Amino acid sequence: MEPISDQTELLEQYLDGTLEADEAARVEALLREDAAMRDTLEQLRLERDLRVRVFASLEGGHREADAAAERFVASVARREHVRRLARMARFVAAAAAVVLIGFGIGWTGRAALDPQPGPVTPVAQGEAASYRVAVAVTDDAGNVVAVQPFSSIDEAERFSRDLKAWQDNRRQLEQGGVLLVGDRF
Amino acid sequence: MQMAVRVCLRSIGWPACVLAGVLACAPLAGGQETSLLQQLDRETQALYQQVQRSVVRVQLPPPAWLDELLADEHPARRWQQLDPEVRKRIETGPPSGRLGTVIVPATQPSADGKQPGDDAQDGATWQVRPLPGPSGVQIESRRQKGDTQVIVVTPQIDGESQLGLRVQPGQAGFAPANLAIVLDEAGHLLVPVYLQQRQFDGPVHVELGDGRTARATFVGSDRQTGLTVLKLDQPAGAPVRISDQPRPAEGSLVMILSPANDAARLAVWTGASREWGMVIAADGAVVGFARHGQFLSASLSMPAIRALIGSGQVDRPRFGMVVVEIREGDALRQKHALGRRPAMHVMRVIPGSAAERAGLRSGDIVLELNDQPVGDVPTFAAILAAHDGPATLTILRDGRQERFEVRFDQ
Repeated sequence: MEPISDQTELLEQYLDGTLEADEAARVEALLREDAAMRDTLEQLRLERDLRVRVFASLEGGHREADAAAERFVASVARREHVRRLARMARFVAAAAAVVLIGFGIGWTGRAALDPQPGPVTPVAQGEAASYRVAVAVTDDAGNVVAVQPFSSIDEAERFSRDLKAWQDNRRQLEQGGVLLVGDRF
Repeated sequence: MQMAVRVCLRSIGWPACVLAGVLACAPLAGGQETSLLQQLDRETQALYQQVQRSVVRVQLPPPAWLDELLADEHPARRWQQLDPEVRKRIETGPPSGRLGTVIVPATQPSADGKQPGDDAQDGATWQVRPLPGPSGVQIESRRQKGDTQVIVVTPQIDGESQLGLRVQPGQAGFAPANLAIVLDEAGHLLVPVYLQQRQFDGPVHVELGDGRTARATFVGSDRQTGLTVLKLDQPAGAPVRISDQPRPAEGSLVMILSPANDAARLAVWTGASREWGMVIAADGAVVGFARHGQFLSASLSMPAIRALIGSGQVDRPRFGMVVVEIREGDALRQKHALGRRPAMHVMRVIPGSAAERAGLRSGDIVLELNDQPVGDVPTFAAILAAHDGPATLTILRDGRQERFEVRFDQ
């Protein structure tokens, strides 16, 4: 088992596609055997996906995207913290290291995974990524709580408008006085 | 005294003596003016304190009919092919606040080739129009579902919304923001809004006039009058006095208690109020409930309230017709020269109904029910709740007033 910092770098290179063929094959063999390493790879993919969304949102200047960017930075900071802990743990027995790594991965993944409960399927390595448009649904704190893919930006915008209009109407009903002005007697 | 006057006249002459007398009396006149204001202040405080003993603040659940009114427009219904997680999120919503959306590149294909937007339909049209009024601008939105029409009124007063029903998002903590009155010694409370039993998953919290808290349970509610009756677990507060008068006399002084910001103010009653609040007469009796132009008389509502206390519901005979309030600014007011007179428009008469048998027709203007002026649905429903025997409708048709007796099916 690789120490977590080396392992993460290796997986980053694997995702970047910069590994030599034999190195990539070795990583894939490790992945088949090591569930924790597979989780780490999954986590890295999710973070990359979130990063793409955040940057795309920032281009549009959305307030929600600013909040997402802050969360992303916070998640990276937490991740670095966990990495430092893991470096200390590399001198501990291998079994304890496995436990710590598992904990570290879980802790690191918490911030990024929580906002992404939707069925985000990572793009397979080497497969051409078919990027399309999605609407990230955020809660009142700005956390992404679900993601809906669409075939076009028009569809995504219509859905966004529908959701906003419905919420606006509901808020008006909540805050306004509702008068019954016509009925059957 | 006579000696003093003689000395005064001899020494300074009679004109100067009169002036001195006036100046001497001036402070007395000023003092009386101050006394009147203080008296008014004392009277107002006494009235407020009297009313406070009969008023409680209650924390109500969000009304379910909000969702019913908007059901056809819910995005989860309009967009059939949503991801299950997205569907769940927008159906449940956030615990407080609202959901936002950010359009981003996606990394996954859709479940099938169908476009989600293919299922979208054109939504209902909201009529939003600003209405000038003494209290500022009101936003009105008219909605229709079947035979039922509602108007949502959101008045803007100095940037603050004045609310009919206060909804606390998330319902976290104790935040009583709605008003109720104590009806009787048994602890029945009247809330002048409509809430359904299924919204109550247990007792609601109540803050009594003296600041103590209590719990109350649902007893019954009536959609057409817009009334809900609750009952305190332990009776408390002083039962309110219901005015004998069906409405305040125009020009009389009233106190209006509003759930918005715990506001209470004295006002001169001009026949209607664009506010939402309880209308209290100068003698401390509750006269009725002002609802953005509608006025539900407390005395006329008593039969419906007693029915709610007794059985949890209000039974009314059925005319078999759809009536709609003719609101201020409606073209029908000018067409029929109604002025400010309360009136309702018969939109539809059901074939074979009691209304049709009595000769009522679509297009008729209803002026009175059982000799009581009717201009809105809650008043119509309240009068009908007291029905006993045939009902009499005063109708305006072709410029003439006619009376129709409606006999209901037994």
